[in-house]
Formats: sequence, structure tokens, C-alpha cells
Amino acid sequence: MDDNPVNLRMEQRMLSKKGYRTAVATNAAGCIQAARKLKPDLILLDIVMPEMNGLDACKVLRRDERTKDIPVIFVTGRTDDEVLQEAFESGGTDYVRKPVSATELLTRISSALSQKILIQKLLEEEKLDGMLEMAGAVCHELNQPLQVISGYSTLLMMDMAETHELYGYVTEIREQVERMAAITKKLMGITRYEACHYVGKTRIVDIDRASGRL
Amino acid sequence: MMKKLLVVDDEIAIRNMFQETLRRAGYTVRLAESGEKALEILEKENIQVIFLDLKLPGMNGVDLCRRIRKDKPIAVLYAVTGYASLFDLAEGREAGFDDYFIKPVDIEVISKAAQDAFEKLYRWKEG
Repeated sequence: MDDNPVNLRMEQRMLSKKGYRTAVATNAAGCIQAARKLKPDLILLDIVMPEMNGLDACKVLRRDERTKDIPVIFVTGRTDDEVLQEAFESGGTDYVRKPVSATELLTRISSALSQKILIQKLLEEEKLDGMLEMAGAVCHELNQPLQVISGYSTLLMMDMAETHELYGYVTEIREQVERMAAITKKLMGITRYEACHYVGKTRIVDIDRASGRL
Repeated sequence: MMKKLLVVDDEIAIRNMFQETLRRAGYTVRLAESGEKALEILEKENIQVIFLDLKLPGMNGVDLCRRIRKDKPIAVLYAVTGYASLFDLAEGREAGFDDYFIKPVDIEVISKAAQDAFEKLYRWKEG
């Protein structure tokens, strides 16, 4: 985003040569709107602009769930310490000085994108660790009562003649316990994070895929 | 030979269910809710077959197994756990467990394990 169309065209050319697809905005409001809609991998943001400046635009992006993780590189003619400090405090990932050098711009973009991938990987690992800890707790807590129900239903079946009117019910209880035990066994086998759609926007962990059974 | 065994689990419902199962199979069953209580019982009574839950308050099942194994080299020690990942196979073997079961385990398997344990002890004593 830059309020100067010449700068925009020049940066677009530099990026398209390296295979990046771009969308442009000439003011902060347009940039924020486009970011929410397109969810780009990265945003280049001019700092000095009429109405809302780049720093405030960045703060808005960081507060929005849809755009908070998008790396923002400030493109600025001002390189005084005060502005640069503000740039980072507003949530900027990096900055590039004007006039923009293609090498510097592309290097900073590449570095910001690698950093984003690394952060995503770490978040995935964190998510998986959390899921495994939760799975472990659920397995442990469920397997305790399952053991008791399974044990007593088996003892009941040993005491009952197969012709007893309640024998079928006890058999059913035992079968359902086995079914639940199979679920906890799958939970114990989870090795990766996999989710699937449940209803509407709700997502749930896909136990079969996460445990490598599909 | 009196067939006496010890079940260590912090959940009373599980202790009672194991007791009922093993009592019906002809064994005398002692119960402990913690590692410390188990060691107290083992100090007073000669018990050589023991089922240990791994997640116990205070001393855990693996450390308890190590302690018991020091004094009872031929005892048969079974781990019973509600979560397989708590049981590192190599660590379990090194601690001295003879075998392990994941809850919910079929009580007939538990009865068979107790039977196998006493047969093993009998062979050792006779041999």
C-alpha cells in the first residue's frame, strides 16, 4: 500500500518478476479492507500517508483476528530511530528504506515469509503438543471408569445364564464399553494435528486421521 | 501355597473390582491406594504377585516397582495403566515389570495373568 501510484507500480514490477502476485491499495482504509478480504501472505505498507498513516493501519491489522498474523513490512523514506521504533511497536515485522532497492525489498520479503512459515510450524507443534496432552488426560480419565464398567459387566455375565432376561442388556453394556475403549485407543495413537468440519464453521479433531488410521 | 496378591491403584472402584475378580478366581487379595501403603503391606506380608497402577499419588508405579524389585527378585510385577504413553516400554522393563496391561483390560486377562504368575513362582520354587 502506497499513496503514490508510481511507487506502487515500481514495487509491483519488482515483485511480479520474482513470481509474487500482488494487490494494491492507495490508502489505509483500502489496504485494511483488502487485507481482510484477500488474506495476503505479506503486506508492504507506506508509513506517511494522508488520513490514517501506515503505523495506525498496522495497529488495526494487528487487532483484527483475520489479519493479525500477516507480516507487515514498512516502506518508508523516514529512517530516524523514533519512527523505526514506532514501526516495530505498531506490529511491523521489518522495514525497507525508500528509494526501494529490488535486492533489499526481495530479501526482506523472503526473510519475513520464512519467519512466518517457521512461526506457523511452531504453532502447529504447540497445537499438537496441546492436543496430545489433552488426549492423554482424556484417555487416562476415561479408561478408569471404563475398566470398572467393563469388569463388573463381565462379572455379571459370568453370573447370569444366557437365557436371563437381562443378559442382552449386560452384553450391550460390555460391547459399548469396548467401543469406547477403541476410541481411547485411537486417541492414544494421535501423532499429528488433523481437524475436520463438524457442523457449520465448527471444526473438530479428526481422530482417525490424526491417529494415522486413515 | 496360599495364593495372595496385591493390587495397587488410587481409585477405590478399580481396587474393589479387581479384588472381586481375583477373589472369585481363588486368590486372597490385598489392596493399597498408594505406593507408600503398598510398601507397608509388603513389609508385613509375603506377597509375590503384584498389580501396580502407574499413576499414583506420591511415589509413581515405576518407582514403586524399582523399590519392590530390590527386595523381591523373583516376584511377578504387572503394570496396569490408563494411558499407554505413561508406560515407556524400555523404562518399564528396566524398572522390573514382567508385563503391562492397558485399561480397560478384560478381567479374564487379569485372572489369567495372576494364574501365570503363580505358575511361574511355583516352577521357580520347585526347580
